[in-house]
Amino acid sequence: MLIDVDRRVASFRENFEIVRTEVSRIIVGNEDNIIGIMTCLLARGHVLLEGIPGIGKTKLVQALADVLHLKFSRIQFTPDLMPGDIIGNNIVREDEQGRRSFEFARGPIFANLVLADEINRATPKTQSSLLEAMQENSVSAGGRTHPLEQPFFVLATMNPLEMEGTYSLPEAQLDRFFFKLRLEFPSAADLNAILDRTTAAEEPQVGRVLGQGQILEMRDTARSVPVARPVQEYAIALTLGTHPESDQATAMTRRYVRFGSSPRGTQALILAGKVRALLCGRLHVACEDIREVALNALRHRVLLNFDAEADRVDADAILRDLIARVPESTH
Amino acid sequence: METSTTRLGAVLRTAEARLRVRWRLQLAGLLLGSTAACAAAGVLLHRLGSAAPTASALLTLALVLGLVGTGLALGRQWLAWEGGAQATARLLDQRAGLREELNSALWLGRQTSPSEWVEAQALRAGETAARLDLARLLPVWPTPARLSGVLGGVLLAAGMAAWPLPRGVGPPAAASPGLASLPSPLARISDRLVRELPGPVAEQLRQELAQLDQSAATPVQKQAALAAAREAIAQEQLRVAALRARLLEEAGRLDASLPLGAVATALREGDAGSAVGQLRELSAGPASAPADNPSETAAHARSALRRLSAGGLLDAAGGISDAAARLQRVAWELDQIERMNRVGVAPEQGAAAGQAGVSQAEARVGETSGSGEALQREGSRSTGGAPRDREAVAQPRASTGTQGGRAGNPVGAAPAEPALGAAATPLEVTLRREAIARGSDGQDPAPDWFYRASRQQQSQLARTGDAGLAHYAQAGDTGPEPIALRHRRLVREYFSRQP
Repeated sequence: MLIDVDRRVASFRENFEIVRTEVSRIIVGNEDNIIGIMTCLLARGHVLLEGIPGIGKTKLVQALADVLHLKFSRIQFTPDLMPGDIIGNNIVREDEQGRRSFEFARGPIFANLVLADEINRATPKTQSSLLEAMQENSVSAGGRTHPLEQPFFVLATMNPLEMEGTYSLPEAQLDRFFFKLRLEFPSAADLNAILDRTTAAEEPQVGRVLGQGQILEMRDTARSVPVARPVQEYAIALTLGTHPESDQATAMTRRYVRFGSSPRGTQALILAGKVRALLCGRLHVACEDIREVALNALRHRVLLNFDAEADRVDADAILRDLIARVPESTH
Repeated sequence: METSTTRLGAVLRTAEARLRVRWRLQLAGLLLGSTAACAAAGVLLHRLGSAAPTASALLTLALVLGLVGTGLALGRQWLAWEGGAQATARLLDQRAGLREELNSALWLGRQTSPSEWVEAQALRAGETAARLDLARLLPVWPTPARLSGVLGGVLLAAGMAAWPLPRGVGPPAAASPGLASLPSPLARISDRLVRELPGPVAEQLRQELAQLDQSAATPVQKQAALAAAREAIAQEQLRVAALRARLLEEAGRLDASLPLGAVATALREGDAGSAVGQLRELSAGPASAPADNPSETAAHARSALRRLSAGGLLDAAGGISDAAARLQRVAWELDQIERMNRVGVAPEQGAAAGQAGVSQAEARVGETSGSGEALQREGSRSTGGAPRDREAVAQPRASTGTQGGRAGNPVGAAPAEPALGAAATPLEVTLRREAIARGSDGQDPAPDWFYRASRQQQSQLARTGDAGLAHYAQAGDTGPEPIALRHRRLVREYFSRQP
């Protein structure tokens, strides 16, 4: 029994390393973001990628889809995109006897990996069509509920610069995302590597190294990691610290935060902590794991007020201050 | 599961035992250090005594702060020490960088239902705990740096307690027999003074200075000894002044005789020894006498020798000027002694001032007598409260209707005087008042208030001086007109003002 646990942990780390290595053959740099995306995948979450145009957001998702042996679909969000274009439509079909009936034609959301490119260009109505799918892993259309095949993983990209003709994601939609990752502009060395790989005669190719079953097994493994109560309390303290009305709120929180993180944020902290603990070869979650994933898990769940915008204070600064001040539980 | 939990528990129990021993050692060290610091501070306070109130107050404050700090440190240690396996596991996790492995295993083993993951985690934690070097992670003895710091502090405290106090600080003498056997600065000055003075005066001065040098002497006794020593010096100065006056007188008589002009000059310069030698040569024989009229010159010389012998000048054949200079030096040395004595007397004056409150009550009885002497005493008194104005109090007050009379006026508010007359003020009370005399305005005393003679001393000196002048005038009254007392006083004051 103990040997089985060790084997599962070893397998988890090995598979994870394989995926990371394969994706790194196409994507230069962004190691943390690759790990972040994989963490979301294995923690049964969805990820929102934010970055300027041309930085490789879509390429990163495509590379991941190529590595994973999963069904992949891409939805380019535009202002005229309708919910039916995402989840599907009931169409009238006539059989051989000439009888007509409605049949649900599945939309692109019925895939394992869904790339919602430039998600903030669609209207809120269309954006909200993803809500049920992301949270319930099912789609309701025509009076019927259609379950989504597992793993179901939404990767959305968002351009933070172009505000004209975009629709900011509502808070409820943002909260559905497990992580919000920021892709930074690559360094000079990384740019050299990008040019070497993308301007040559042949671009690097990756193989499908991980199948659906392996991913599901990895998900189960990640969920199995036990968490001690002190670590949970630390995660709760961090979450409560984002609420300005909480006793554990810091001065920055009280000054700049309008609303704090939801319980989904705490869940994200723990689940991501479990994945990170496994990646570190541990069978338990440590407070350090919680600290490491806190920025990605909470930055989009903290709503800032006008003072923060006026003072150019972002959520990361508030969270870093919070992490530095919240003590670990002494139980 | 059971084995791994048992192994982890054994390690935690061992670690907890080490922590307990270490905590008790720290507690004992803290208590010992506090005790040592208190002892050192107590010794230092005892040595400082009441001589350095500022240093004593600062030391006391530091001691109190140190005790409060020690109490806080003890309380902090007591609060910080939780004990138990959970706290021990958390401490080991922190020190070994285990990222909550032991704490999680302990908590999961207690709180959650056993699962293969929990069991695996407990097994790992047990193996990790077994590999821990508890002696390195939880040392029982303090580190060499901390130990050297504590030892340094103890040595510093001991050094502070054993270090000799600055001169003039702390209770004098009697602290050690070896130190007491050494001659004090006062004794050395006393020996030098006595060597420069003639026999009777030197003996009196020696006795007074010995009284002054006694550690058990009260400020009043030292003040009285200084006054007596000053009086002895004044008497000697008066005697020398009288001799000088007689030499001047004799020089005036010899001015008429030309051969005796040199003798007169020597007498004016106070060189009695050389003058007497010349007179003896002139009176001895014609061989050495001038050729014009040797017999008359010899007769004058013999007559002058007789007068000088009758006036006691032959005994003081030495230089009068040198004697006057020596006396001035002695007076200056006495001033130095008085200055030194003031440093030792100053702290005790506070106690004397407290006792003076009692003497004030005693003196108030005599105050109602209305005599000028009682009023004058009151004028030079300061009883620790608001000093009275010397001039205002020293003025004789007229008896008013509300003050009452000698027999007590029932109408007045003043208390009735004793039926048998004014109460006698003890000499000790009077001397104590003299010792704490201050400026008349109630503010800071005059810079030379200590060196200035009190009214009683001035009156005593004036009386003894007048008596001495009269005595010497009668003794030297060999001529038709005696030396006027006023002239003698002028001479005394002249020599007294010499630097």
